[in-house]
Amino acid sequence: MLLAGLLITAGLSLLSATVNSKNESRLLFVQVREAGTVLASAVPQLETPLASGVAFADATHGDRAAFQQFMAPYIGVGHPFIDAVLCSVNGSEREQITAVGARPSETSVRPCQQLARATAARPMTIVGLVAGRQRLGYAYLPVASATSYGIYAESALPPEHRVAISKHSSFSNLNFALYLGKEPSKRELIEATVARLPMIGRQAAATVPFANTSLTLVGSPTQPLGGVLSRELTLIVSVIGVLLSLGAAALTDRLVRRRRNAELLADENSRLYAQQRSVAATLQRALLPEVVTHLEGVEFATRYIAGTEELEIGGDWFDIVPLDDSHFLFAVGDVSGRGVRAAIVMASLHYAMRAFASEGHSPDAILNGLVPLLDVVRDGHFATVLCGSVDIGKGRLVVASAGHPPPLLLANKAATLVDVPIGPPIGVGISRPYLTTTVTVPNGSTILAFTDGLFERRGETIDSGLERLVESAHGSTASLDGLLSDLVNNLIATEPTDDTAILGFRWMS
Amino acid sequence: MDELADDQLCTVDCVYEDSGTVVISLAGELDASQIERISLQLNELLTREPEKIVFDMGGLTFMDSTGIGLMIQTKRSVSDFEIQNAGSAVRRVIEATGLSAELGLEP
Repeated sequence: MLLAGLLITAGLSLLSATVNSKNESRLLFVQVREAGTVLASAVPQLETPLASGVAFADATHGDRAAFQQFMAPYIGVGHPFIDAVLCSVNGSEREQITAVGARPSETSVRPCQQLARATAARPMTIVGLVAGRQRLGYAYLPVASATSYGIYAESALPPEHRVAISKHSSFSNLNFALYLGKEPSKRELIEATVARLPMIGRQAAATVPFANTSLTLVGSPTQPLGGVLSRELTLIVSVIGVLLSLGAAALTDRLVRRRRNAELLADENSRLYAQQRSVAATLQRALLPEVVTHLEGVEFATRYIAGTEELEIGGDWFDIVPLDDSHFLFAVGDVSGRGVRAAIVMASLHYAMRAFASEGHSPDAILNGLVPLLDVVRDGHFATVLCGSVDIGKGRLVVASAGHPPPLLLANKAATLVDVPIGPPIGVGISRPYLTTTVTVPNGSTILAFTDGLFERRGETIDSGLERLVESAHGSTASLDGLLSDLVNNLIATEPTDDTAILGFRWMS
Repeated sequence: MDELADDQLCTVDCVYEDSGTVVISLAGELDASQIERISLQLNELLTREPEKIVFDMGGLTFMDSTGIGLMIQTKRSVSDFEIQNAGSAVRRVIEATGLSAELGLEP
């Protein structure tokens, strides 16, 4: 009986021990494998900055400062890398463009040559342990042949390859050694928690893929791993928890980085937009005359209101050309369409007109002179121009129009549109001689010349708009400048779609 | 600008007649913001070398000088050209630029 009992007890103990041992081994294996999975999940965290760095270099055409600025957050103590080298890739030629961080280790004197290895199907290659096995080198070269940049980077390994595992880590009950490759070879040791290798006692090994190579993790328990179900569960739950949070962190990190890149792009776009807008505005201002004209007996005022809807500048202009002490020439024009081309057409007409004016031509002759300069089929634009010459002393005005709205005359507080014979616009390919009208005005009279932005409205005929303009000016007692301000405030919407140019002059009584 | 109401967009409908005439019906508002798109359509149409182009302006509520440029360019590219159903707003814009006779709108 006793013997049988002992035998059974022994058998049970043995069985129990075996089960326990098997359980311990199984747990160890599971834990080492999970630790390996966690390690493997580090690959994207290494790869993402390198991939972004290459993409960034492509976008900035290998700009040194931009690359250094972009990579800086990933370089240094506590960051994934200790250095990174940007290389240009042209066929089989590699050339270093710039480096960030610590100097590349001496065993890889020509870091860019390491990129030769990175031509396989995967962009990231582990170059291996370098710098007296104190660093781990990576090469990143996108597979796409269009890419002309690659990065060589190194991570620093811990001194003596020794690391400590936090007590709060799920793997705190393990000693481990991590090797590059599929074999636990001491020459390929990356890091370990113990100084003496190989470890003794119960061990388990796991090999996980790591870019083009593998990592081999050898683990050994520092204490019994359990057999208590709750502890096992806690462990598994915590391992899964760690994995999930690591994955989420990597994903968040990636999204944050993408967002940051998008924001950078948006900033750049708005800067370019502002720059383009300001270039356009500067160009336009440069083409419009400042009213420096001081002529005895007459005052001038001008307004230019840019349409806000479009980025592009319009082709409206005005000009005043003094001819002598008592004569000047004025013009207001409107080139159809918008954009830099319209502005160039405007500028060429503007200066041609000045040249004709300085030669003493009359308004109708000036318009005739402009005709051959522009063609809507060839240039995509045509222009309407109102041109007039003024004899200040005699109060006399000679006006001609190339399809342009007539000027407004304010005399004795009454506003009327001057009846000007309308000739064809400049550039429509119609040669019909321009005719002039001559008006003599009393002292104190005001003439306003303008472009259609001042009166043109959607959903009505231009007659209604012109009528509104006449009514708005009628009976005005304001100064010339005040009159222009009133008209702009009363007639032009706060966000006009079209540009408006106004030129006014008044005989001083 | 991406949020233009439908009635602000200029729409183009082309009908090809056997006689070699193309009737182009414009509707909405024809201004600088629309001209590039419409010019492209028109240029493509002109490569088929129609004998006559008729612009039906019945649906057009607004046209500025860019529209006039388009009319002039088209008129000079075909042997026969006609504007039909121009409303008073369109008609007056053409008159004000002194082009009624050239565009066949003289009463």
